[in-house]
Amino acid sequence: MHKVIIANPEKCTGCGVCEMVCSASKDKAFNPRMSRIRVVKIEPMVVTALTCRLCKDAPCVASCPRKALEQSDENGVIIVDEEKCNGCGWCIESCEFGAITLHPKKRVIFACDLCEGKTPCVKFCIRDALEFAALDRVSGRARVSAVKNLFQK
Amino acid sequence: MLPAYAGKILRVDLSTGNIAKEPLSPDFVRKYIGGKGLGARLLYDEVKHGIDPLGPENKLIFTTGPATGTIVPHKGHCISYKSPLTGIYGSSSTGGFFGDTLKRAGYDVLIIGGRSKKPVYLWIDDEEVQIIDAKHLWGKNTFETNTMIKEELGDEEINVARIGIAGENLVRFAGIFNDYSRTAGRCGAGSVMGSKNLKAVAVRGTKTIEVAKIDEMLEFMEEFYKTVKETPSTGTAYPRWGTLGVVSTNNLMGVFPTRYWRKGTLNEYENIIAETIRGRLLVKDRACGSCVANCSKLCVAKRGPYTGAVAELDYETVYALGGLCENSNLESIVKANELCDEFGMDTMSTGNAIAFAMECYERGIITIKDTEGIELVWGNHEAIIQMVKKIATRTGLGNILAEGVREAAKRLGKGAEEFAVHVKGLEPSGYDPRGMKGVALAFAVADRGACHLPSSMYTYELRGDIDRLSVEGKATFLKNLEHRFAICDTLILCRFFRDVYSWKTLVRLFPLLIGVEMNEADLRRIGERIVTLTRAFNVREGISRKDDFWPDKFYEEPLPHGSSGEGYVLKKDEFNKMLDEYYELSGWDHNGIPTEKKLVELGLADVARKIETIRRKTVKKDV
Repeated sequence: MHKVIIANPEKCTGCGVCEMVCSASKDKAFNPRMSRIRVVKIEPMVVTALTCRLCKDAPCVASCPRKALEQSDENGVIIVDEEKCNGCGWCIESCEFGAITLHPKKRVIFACDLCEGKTPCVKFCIRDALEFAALDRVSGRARVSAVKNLFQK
Repeated sequence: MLPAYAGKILRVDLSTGNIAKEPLSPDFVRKYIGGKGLGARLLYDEVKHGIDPLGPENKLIFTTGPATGTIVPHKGHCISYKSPLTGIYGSSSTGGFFGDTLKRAGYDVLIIGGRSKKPVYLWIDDEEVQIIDAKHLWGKNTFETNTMIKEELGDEEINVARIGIAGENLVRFAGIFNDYSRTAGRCGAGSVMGSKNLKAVAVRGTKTIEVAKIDEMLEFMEEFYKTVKETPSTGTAYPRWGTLGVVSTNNLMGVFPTRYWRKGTLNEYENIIAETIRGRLLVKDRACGSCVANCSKLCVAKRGPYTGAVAELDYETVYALGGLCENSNLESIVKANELCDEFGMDTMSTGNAIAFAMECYERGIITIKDTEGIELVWGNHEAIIQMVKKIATRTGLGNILAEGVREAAKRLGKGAEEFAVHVKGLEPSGYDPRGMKGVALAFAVADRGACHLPSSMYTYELRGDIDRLSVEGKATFLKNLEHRFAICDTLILCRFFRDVYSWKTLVRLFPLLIGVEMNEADLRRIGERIVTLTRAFNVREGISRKDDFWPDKFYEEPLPHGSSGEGYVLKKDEFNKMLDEYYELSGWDHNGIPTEKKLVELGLADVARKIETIRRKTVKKDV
């Protein structure tokens, strides 16, 4: 199972460090709109971060009329051929998470590529709200926590 | 332009509808950096003395700084103006993301002057700037205004700085809100905005912020975040308790302002301490830009008549709407805070105004007829809630209290002025100066009135780094803090990072951000320049030694403490000694007016001419 970057909404404070680190690592500048991971706030209660979920049979890949997107077998990331992409945005419409989007400067599509597993966003998250993990591990932990809650209440 | 700056000033004249963009000069930012520094200088130059703070001549100067919108833990933006509450230098800086977005839209500075004939809001969409009709928004609260503007502009990711009904009604301590409820709260920026018929400033910024050395910055930040995590205040205390930890500390030390500055401990203070709040109300820890200390504590009332009320509680709110009114009903504090947020006004001045009114009621200066049936007795939380509404809507007695405690006392008369608590018109932050001598000095000389933030002296006295009951060495200690924090304020860094933004760290940040080496002496000089400049602004408005004092009652009535019955009190001779020392260290004369020599030395020769004329006149008067 591929590992993805997931955020824990209980721990996320909305500080946006992940966005800063992402755009700094990839584009050498600070701009959340250039970040592959985005903070989402539903005021006032909900704050979390979202990035590419590495969906199986990714709809973004399927929707691209120019075959500019390809999904890696190795780690599941969406590989963008910047020559082929013309920024038409069909992939944006197909993504349920808003995780693939248009680069504000290059005007082509970009998405999280996991930084070769280095994931600086995870490293910089001081509240440990981000995690780079396989989803089966996540579900295992969720089960334990759900049962704990049930019996504590 | 230097790196880390957008390089532009956006200027809007609401009288003429004129919108202009001007370059921000590198020489200017080298001298004042950003944030409070830039704001103070622009204010000094552009807002002439003696003007009506609620007239079109006043300006709202929004500034960001080199750290804004970067990975350096920072807060939001700074707003400078002449305060309608105090009549002197007004400045409020706030958390939240509005400043980050403003800078990404391409502006380090936004200057709003004049007065629109009808309600409008400003829409900054990167390069495109428009003034939009706001008739449909007038009368809406801060939350509704935020939602409605985001909806009509069709972008969830924009930031909106806006006022509520209190700002529209020119309540002199109305604030300017951004994000959910982050507030430029003190000194009445919201009423200045209301006086200009400006409901909101909405901003969409899509540009990038480039710093001088980004790879080195990331490396440094990795190391810095470790320090932040290992430091008790930023690593443990603020993340867990926010600012609320001070509630129990201040009560235990007997300096928690209670029953309108007559007691130092609230009887049932355990009801409103951090542990109770975290256990009973807390639903979410939140943070400002790149901040890893998440001091914001979003609380929800879950029991009693106030169930469902939501607010980001902090120490100062708990002190003002709790202790000061002798109110230990925790849920009512959340409700009162929520209402202040909705109406858009400062919880600290609001709490002070209500507690002051409670004392007036106790003394018979105001009666149940004046309150229109409200029993304004200590601890009556229902009365507090009703008074919040009356103040925001300027109804009955609320209309008088909306002027702030100083002016309200003057209007009520009958001796009310003798127990009204303020310094230079600003109701103090929640530390009783009788039990904290450094705080007594710091609040007395603070540029915007009785405020804890310019120096953060309270931290060091509470922590026991220095003896809080001694006056020895306090002036020197204070000067040091003021200069370092003035630099933090130019970068708009949060005061709660005081333990980690050392001189050494600040010196390291500058070349990484703006590509200019600054040593500690350079930075100290800039810090001193800014502190002196805000003083010069105040001197021009008539401020001198006579205003650097607490009301008489702090020197005459001891604050009861412990069983000995003696209590804490300020002594005039001791206080004057600290003040003299402070002036001398500052290069100000006996009257607290900066000397020509000092101003010239700090590169403020153009300011010196005006101030020296004033200084000579006051010296003559003395003779």
